[in-house]
Order: sequence, then structure tokens, then C-alpha cells
Amino acid sequence: MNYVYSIVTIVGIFSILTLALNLQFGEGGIINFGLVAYFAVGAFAYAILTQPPPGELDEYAIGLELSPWLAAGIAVLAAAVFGVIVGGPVLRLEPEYLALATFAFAQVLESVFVNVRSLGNGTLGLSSIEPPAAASIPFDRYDLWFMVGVLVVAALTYLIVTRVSRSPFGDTLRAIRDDELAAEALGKRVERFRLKAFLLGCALAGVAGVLYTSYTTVAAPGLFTADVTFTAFIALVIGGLGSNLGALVGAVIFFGLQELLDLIPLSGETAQLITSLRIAVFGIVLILVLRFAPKGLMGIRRGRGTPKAVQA
Amino acid sequence: VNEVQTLVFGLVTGSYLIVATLGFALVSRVEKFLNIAHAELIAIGAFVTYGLTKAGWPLPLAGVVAMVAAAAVAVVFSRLVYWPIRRTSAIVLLITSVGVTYVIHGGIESLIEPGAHSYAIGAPAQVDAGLFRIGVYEIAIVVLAALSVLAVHLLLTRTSIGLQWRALSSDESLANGRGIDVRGASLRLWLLVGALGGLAGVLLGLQGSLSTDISFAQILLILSVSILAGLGSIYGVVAAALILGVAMDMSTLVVPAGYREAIAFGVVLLALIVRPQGLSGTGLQRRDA
Repeated sequence: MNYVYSIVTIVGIFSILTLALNLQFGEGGIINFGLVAYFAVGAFAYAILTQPPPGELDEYAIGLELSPWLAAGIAVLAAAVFGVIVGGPVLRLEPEYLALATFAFAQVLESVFVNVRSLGNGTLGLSSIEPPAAASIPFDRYDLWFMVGVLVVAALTYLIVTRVSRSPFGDTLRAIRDDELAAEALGKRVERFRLKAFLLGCALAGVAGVLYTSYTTVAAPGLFTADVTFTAFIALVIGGLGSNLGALVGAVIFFGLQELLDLIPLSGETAQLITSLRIAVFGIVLILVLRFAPKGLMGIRRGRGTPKAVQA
Repeated sequence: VNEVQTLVFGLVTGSYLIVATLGFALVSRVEKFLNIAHAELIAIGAFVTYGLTKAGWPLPLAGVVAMVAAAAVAVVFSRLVYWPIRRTSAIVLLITSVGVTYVIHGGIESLIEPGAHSYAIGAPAQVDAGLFRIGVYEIAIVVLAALSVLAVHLLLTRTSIGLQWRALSSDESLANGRGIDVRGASLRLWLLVGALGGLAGVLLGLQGSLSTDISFAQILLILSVSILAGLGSIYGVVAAALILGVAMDMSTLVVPAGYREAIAFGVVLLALIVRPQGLSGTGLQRRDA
């Protein structure tokens, strides 16, 4: 049963990340190519806040040993703050520059985690991270309860983003996405709307990061590469850009399939080959979906929320 | 290591960045999208050279074959993937290029074992120029970069294909209406872009060891150079690449070498705030406006 818990947990965590991306990119037209940065900030902040002060063998300098719940809250806040730091200067850029700037911020953050050893132990990363409520739940039932917790948070996230996208705020956001000039002419404060959407997305990515790191109990730079960003894009494109249900369905299909494939036992060399080919297949899927079904799975149903950018 | 020596290293790095970014800039300018997969063309150039030198081929020959291989891959992907969706938006093309990145990356990883790899070539002869020393390979990098810039300049200004590319970059439908073979011109552009990417790959392996996951670091540098130059600017690339190359290498005198790329981005961020349109150029023309 354990691997079922594990698959559902991972799929739940990445569903939150994909929903966050849909809010930013699908609804807001903000092409965040550095999504992983906010996921990583949430994860590392949680790790640093909960870990014990450094021992003799540790290279990290800060360990606050806060309660996991408090740490989780602060970590999500940290992701949002990082969103302000990045979003403030870059959100007014043209889409291409925005993509490049967010991407570069994420790459630099990764290089900071690798190079500043006092922050996160360098490439080795931080380990033995304490998940929430570990003391009050029997060890052999913890996986089950963690999965339930993730599902509850994922459901809440879905409720929040659907509420946001059905609100007047969501309408304005989509209006800005499809015609910024017209929205501005109607007196909408374009930058403020975009910043709010970006921030909420970053905070949600931070939530996913906290859950991810408390599930894996490690935070190493190698886990937070641009691949995280791009797999979220693939999942979102498969499901349907601009649709929350699509984001959810895309994430379940894409990440679920990925986790299932990981279950197949393979010997060293074959495993290496299969992993490489899998990367290539992801690429082919992304290319084919964008070409033949740019609205994703949800496009088959309706096209209300589909961004103009992908409408034929 | 003195300042002059580091400055020379910086100019060599900058020369490599010129070659690495030229092809990317041509695609931004003429095809009007950001080809994230450009770094994979560089990886192809590097690993074909690696494989051939390991098989005993002389470096120049291996390098030429690597350029041909990268050009062929560029043409195939442009035809199969980018051409059919060229009328969608720049963002769809950008995300599609991420897909292409994954396809090529997966292909390379399935053929090359993980870990660090170096060309099977001897240590280069060193030239002592008094204030600094420079290796023969470094000289080759600078010379080839200069030749690449010259070649692109002459192609753009003195040939009919260059005229066609410039026509396409300003107005594709008008160019088509005036009888320009858009398909053929695009194909030739990708040949050049692939060859330049392949050459950059050859040069990359001359500067240090290669691993299969080099492309994300390379694309970050390419993006930094193109933002600083102004997206779509061809000539701005030369100045931007040299500035970034020197800034990155000179920074190692003050901060640990691990921050080289972070420094590059710091320069770019400053440039974005002061001059959002880059050193030159006015940004991509909107395809979906």
C-alpha cells in the first residue's frame, strides 16, 4: 500500500504547483519560467527554520528549530516575499523578457544554494527535515496521514484558485492577459493585478515546496532545477492552459504516469537509458500537444478560459 | 594571476559567448521567438567533437563534422516542429522550444554516459606575450569568433539571402508578397544557426570539460547576453558578450568562481532596470499583437 500513498502524495504536491502556474500563466499571462524558485524558497526556508542548530560536522550556519507549523507559515511567506523581490522589477517587462528574467532568477537562486554552503550545505543539501506532527502520529501510519494532509491542502488550493478565477479579479486578470492596452484604457491598474496574481501563485508554489521537502525530508539544489518548472508547464499544457480543472487533470495524468513508471524495476544501465528516453518523450508530448491540441484536454470541452495566445 | 591575464581570459570567454549567442539572436530576429533549444545545438557540437576526437579524428575535421551535424539537427527541427506552428504566438513557439530541448537532451543523455568528458586532444601550446600567456586554443576561439561575426555581417549586408532574412524580419507577409521564398530563406537561416551553434559547442569543449547537463548553464549565459544586447539585436551581441565575458572573469578576482554566472545575471538585471530595451534594438516585434 505504501507506494500508493507515495504516488498520491507526490501527485497532490505537484498538482498544487501546476495550479499555481495556471493562476500565473494560464489566467494572468505571466510567463513564469522560474516557477521552481518559489517552490525551492518554500522548501529551503522550511528546512532552515525547523532544523536543529548546526553540529560540528555541519556546514550550514542557521538552524532555528521552530515548530513545523510556524515554520511552514513563515516559509510560505518567504516564497511570497521572494515573489515581490522578483515580481516588482520584472512584471512590467515584455513577455519574452519576463520569461528570461524569471528563468535567470531561478538559475541564480540555484547557484546561490550550491555556492553558499552556510545556507544549505552546498550540493549536499539539508537532510533529516522534520515533517509536521511527526511526534503525534504513529510512525507506521504517518505516510497515510501525510497523504491525507496533502490531499486536503491540494483541495483547498483548488478551491482558492477557482474562487479567484471566478471573481471579478479573475475576469480583470484574463482581460489584462488578452488585451493589456484595453484593460489599461478601462482604468484597470494592470501592474497591481498582475503582481497580486503573481504573489498568490508564488505563495502556492511555496506551499508545494514546504510539503515536498517535509515529504522527502531533504532539500538539495539538485531537486530544484529548471526541470521542475518545465514539467509543471508540460502538465499544464496537457491539461489545458487557463483551466483550473485542466491543470489538475494534467498534473494527475503527467505526474501520476511519471511516478508509475518509476515503479518499474530496472538494472543500472537500462535505467539510465530509459530515464533519458523518458525525457525525450516528455519533449515530444509537449511539442505534439501544442501543435495538435493547444487547448489541452480541457479544450475538447470548452474554450472560455483559454488564453488568446494559444487560440487557433 | 594578474589583472591583464584575467582580462584576456574574459575576452576569450566573451568571444565564445559571441559565437554561442549569434545563432540565438538570428532566430529571435528573423523567426521572432526565443529558441531555448539553441543550447542543445551547442551540446550537439560539443559531443560530436568529443566522440570523433576520441575515435582518433583530428580536431579541425571533427569540428567541421560537428557543425554539419548541429546544422542538420537545426534544419530538421525547424522543418518538423517550428515551421508548422510559425503562425501561432511567440509564447507557444518558446514553450515548444522547451520541448525540443527535452528531445535533444534526452537523446544526448541516452548516448553519452554521465560524468565529465574532455576532448581527446593534447595540451595546447602556450604563447607568452609578456604581460600575459595565452593558449593556442584560446587564440583559435577569438579568431573563429571574429570570423563568425564577419561572416554573419557579410551575409546580412552583401548577399541576397541576407536581404531576404532582413525582409522577413521586418514583414513576413510583405516579403512573401514580393516573391521571397519564405520557406527556403527560413531553411537557410536554420542551416547557419545550427552551424554557429555547433561551432560554439566545439569551442566550449576547448575551454574545459563537458557534462551532459551543460545546456541549462549555457542557455542562461546566452539569454543574459541577448537581454543585455537587446532581443533580436545582432550587432549588440558582440558588445554584450564581451562585456559579460570580461565582467564574469574579472569578478573571480573578487568573489569565488562559483558566482560567475550570478555575476553575469547581476549585470543583466542592472541593464534591464536602466535600459529595458537592451544596449540596442527595440525588442521583438509582436507577432500576436
